[in-house]
Amino acid sequence: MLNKPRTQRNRMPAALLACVLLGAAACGPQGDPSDLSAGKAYLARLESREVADVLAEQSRMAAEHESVDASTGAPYVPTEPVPSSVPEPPSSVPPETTVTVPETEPAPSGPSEEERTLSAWAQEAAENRVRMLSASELAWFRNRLSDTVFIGDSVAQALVTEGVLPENRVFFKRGAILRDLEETVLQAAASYPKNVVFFKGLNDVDYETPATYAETYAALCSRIKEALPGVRIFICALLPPSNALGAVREDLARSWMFDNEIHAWCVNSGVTYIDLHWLVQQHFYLPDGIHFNKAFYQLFLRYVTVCVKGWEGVPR
Amino acid sequence: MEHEGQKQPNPTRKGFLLARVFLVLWIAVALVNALLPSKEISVRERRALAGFPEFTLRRVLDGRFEEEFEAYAKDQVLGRDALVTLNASGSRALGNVYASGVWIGKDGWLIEDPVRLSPENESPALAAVRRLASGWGFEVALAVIPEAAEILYDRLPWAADGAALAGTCRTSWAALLDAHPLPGVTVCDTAPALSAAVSRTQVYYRTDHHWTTAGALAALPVILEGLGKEAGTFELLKVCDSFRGTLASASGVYGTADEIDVPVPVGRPDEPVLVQVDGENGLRTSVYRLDALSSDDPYLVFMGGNYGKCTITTGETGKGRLLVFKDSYFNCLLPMLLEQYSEIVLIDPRYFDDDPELLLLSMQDAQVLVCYSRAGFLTDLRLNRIIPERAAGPQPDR
Amino acid sequence: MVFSSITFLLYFFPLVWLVYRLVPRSAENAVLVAASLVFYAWGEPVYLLLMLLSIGMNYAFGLLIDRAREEGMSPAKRRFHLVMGVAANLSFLVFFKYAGFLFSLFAPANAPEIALPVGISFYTFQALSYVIDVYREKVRPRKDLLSFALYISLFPQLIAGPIVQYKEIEPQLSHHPGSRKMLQEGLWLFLWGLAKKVLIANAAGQMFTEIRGAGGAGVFASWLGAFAFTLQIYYDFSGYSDMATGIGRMFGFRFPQNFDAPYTSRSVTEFWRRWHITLGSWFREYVYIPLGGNRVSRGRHIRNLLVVWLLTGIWHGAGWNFILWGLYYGLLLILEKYVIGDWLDTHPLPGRIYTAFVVIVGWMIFAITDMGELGRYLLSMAGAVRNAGALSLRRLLSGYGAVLAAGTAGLIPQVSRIRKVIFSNYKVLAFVIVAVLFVLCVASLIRDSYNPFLYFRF
Repeated sequence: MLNKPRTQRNRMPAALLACVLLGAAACGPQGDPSDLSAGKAYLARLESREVADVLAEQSRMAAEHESVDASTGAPYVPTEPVPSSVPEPPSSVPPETTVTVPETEPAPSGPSEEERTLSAWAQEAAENRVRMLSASELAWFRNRLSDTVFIGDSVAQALVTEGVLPENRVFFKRGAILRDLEETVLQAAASYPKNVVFFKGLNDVDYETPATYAETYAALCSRIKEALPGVRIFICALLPPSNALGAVREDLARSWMFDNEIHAWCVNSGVTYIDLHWLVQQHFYLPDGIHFNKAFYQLFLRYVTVCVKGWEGVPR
Repeated sequence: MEHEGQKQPNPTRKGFLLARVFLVLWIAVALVNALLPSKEISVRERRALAGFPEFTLRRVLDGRFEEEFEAYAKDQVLGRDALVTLNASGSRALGNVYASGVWIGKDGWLIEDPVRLSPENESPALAAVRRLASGWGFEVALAVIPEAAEILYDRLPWAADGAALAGTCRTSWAALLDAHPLPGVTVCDTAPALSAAVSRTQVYYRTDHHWTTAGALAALPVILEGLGKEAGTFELLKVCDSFRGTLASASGVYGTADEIDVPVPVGRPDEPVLVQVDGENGLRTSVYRLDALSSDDPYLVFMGGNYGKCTITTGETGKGRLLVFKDSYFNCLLPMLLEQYSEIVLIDPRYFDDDPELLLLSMQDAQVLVCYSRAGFLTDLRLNRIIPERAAGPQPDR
Repeated sequence: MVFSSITFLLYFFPLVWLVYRLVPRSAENAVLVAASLVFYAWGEPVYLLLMLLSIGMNYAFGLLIDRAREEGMSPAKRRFHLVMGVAANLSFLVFFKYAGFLFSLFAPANAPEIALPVGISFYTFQALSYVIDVYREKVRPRKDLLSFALYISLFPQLIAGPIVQYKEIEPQLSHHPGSRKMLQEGLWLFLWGLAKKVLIANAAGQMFTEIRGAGGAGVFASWLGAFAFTLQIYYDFSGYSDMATGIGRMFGFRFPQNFDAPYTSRSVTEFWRRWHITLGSWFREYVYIPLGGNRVSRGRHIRNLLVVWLLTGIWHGAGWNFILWGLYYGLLLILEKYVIGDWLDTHPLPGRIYTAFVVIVGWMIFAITDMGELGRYLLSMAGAVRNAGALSLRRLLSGYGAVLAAGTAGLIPQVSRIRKVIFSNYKVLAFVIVAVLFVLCVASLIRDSYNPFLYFRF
């Protein structure tokens, strides 16, 4: 039997004290907050920049370089211009009844800035020296159209493949006629857009008559309005084939009848018609005579943005 | 024997008293534990804690109530976090240096146990990279950042056999690349640059599985060389000094804290950027997120997280576009690439749910960078699923 | 419910103890029975009915057998009652435990999946001891249903023993006042058993699982794994017995000892006198001795041993490996009894080495139910399998080295004596030790629910 002193020190307080000290040590020293202020200030400064200021800075930087095609790095080379027999593009602002451009104050000293921009664009189109948008301008437009969806066929698809719009804003079905687009329309509606723009090509011309064409559009529009109350609908003009193709394919050449029909329907029904005829230049056609090239879509983007969302902040 | 007779009542009474004290304490703790309101979430574990299970006769008979009660009891124990830390410390004190996939190394270093993949299995992501280069014809640079265990093998504890582990990582990766050739792909080997940088700076976090900004800076020249560009100079600015990352959470070891730095261009102004995150309204003007520093995960200061698709446009003109397939490692490298491109598109395959074919069609003029951590790359299944075979060419209308 | 769970430690036991202390003495048994039924039903709600049925049935059989004796029925008739009682109990056991196995032998396609009611092997054997002893007139049948129910269902020893024969505990059933000393001893014993189970057994078990799961471990690793299991099963089972005995003592019951430093045995014969003592006693009392024990011809004796050991093996589980395990020990015991026993007695060191070897290998037969896997593991222990390199010995040793060391140290009798000395003489130190161990056990138990959500950070 071991002999131990009768009184045993109570070991609890010592153990407790040791635990407290260990705990305090484990918490560790906190960093000196003033060390971080420089870093945090830097981050705050970056985040507090305004979008408009960044854009301005980017434009300034771009201006210091040559104004070359930002995407491909090479100047845009126009194709051989074909003498135009299509009526002259409007040299001034397109008719007010078909465009929702907000009314501008008639300036006594001459055309307004918007009017001047539009005629500048029309000139670019006619002279085939379309200014390619810089990457940040493209981004700006894309952001502006983020509540807008485009529905159509392969001419709409080109919006994506030419790098103009992101793929989630464009709903298309290659080779589709209007009737086929009902499903696509519902898919588009699922993203709850505020604006819907139809941009179709010539597929229907062989299948429909102008009257049924307008009817199908009417049906589609009412479906959309059912699904999305308050949505604004826009229908782009039905663009003709190139002169070369039109000479060969008479059935396609009568697309103007469809276009007129739909234009008239729009005026009556409150859907906005976007007149793109001034954009129809022979040098914008791809060899197949139906689809358009990158320059066309660059102008298209600018114009349609203005039609759908107005002039606010648009980079000229 | 008289000794024993005299001693007997006292020790027994003292012992009895102590037993009583213990029982009283035990019952008191149990009462307090039961009566305290349930905690809803665990901050440390970042998950919801189990609440009191639903009490119905059927569930009691089923046994579900009882099972859930045990989960509830475990989750709601008084002082849970402290107990978990105690368990981790106790286990470490006994010489355990491995906890939940994390090696507890020298000097407070936490190093992730590397993913081991046998070379016979090709990692699916490699197949996707090959498709990008051969099928789609992109100029691809592949930057797979080695694990901390390979570069910092001397910080691993004895039990991990660091040198052998590092050697295994290196050779199995090399064997994988040998076994699956990638024509048209520039493989950027960042390991030498990182190893060289170890002596002068900290290239990985102590408590997190990511590399530090300093590590990214060291690897920058190699990666840009793979893309045909020249690196600019940057200096590092500290923005956080109390970072305890994923490895601390996983292992339960909350010791030293890390610092997070951001790279600042030297002698050049900051790049004006517009950042469009898919699914977000509006544009950001910075690739950082300041308020992430005060959140649970300060590493999110870089980009604010990972998104399916993110488009960044810079003030540079004529410098081309870059398409990046990445995981979170790339986020701290991004600020150093802004001045090299006019547009950078970031894709994190785990969250990307748009049409990949359209994406690739719309980015045909871009360079492609595939930048992952090695663990992320070897275990990624999504990249392979989203990169399709090259489309058969534009189909004719009608 | 199990003792090593937060539900028991922080909810069930404090509540039961509190209620037990607050009610008058006459209600104590009622509280205990109620608590035991809740304890049992907690894990197996449906099988509570089985337990109640068993209680009722055996209570009735006890009375029936006794009445048969009182009424002077013929021995044959009385034996008939006994046989009925035994058969009834065994039929439950056979059905729940062995039906699946038997089916898989004879009609594999129809093998039903029957869940095993927890503790059925234990309480059935306790019931059998009652019925048989009533028949043998060694005890009077119990008239008080409540205290009889207490005997069958008492929650400390319900799930995993010790197997208490009725005659051993009969006087305590109605009168178990306990004492201060018993309370203190019981509490410390419970906490010590908890530490054995949670801190050592669970960790050793993890080590064994890792080694076993790695497949293709070398000689050293597979022996290490076997050793880890050897530690696991001892600390688990003896820890549980300690907890059961400790709680029993707190309520005033004295249960028989179940383990007595088994790994210090110098022969297999001695091992089975020190391991799971109450099971051995039960088999000796109710099977071996009725068959004649060792007071018969050599041939019969061998048969008796084989029968007992076959039954012991099967009692532990329904599977070929258990049968093999039982026969393994049976044959070794026969060998010792007739051939090498005397030599072992006089050579303790070789005896210990031989016993350790035999026991460790035996545990592998016990642990691995799949015969193919068992064969592979034994081969790797024999060094016939190449090391596949999937296992890092360094990591295992660094992770589990401390546990192995502590576990091994605990087996040494001197160390165990030190503990006894501390517990009896240094009360405050003992208090601190068990308090710290208790906290560590709780921490360890909640560790597996620590589940940080890290996905989104990647």
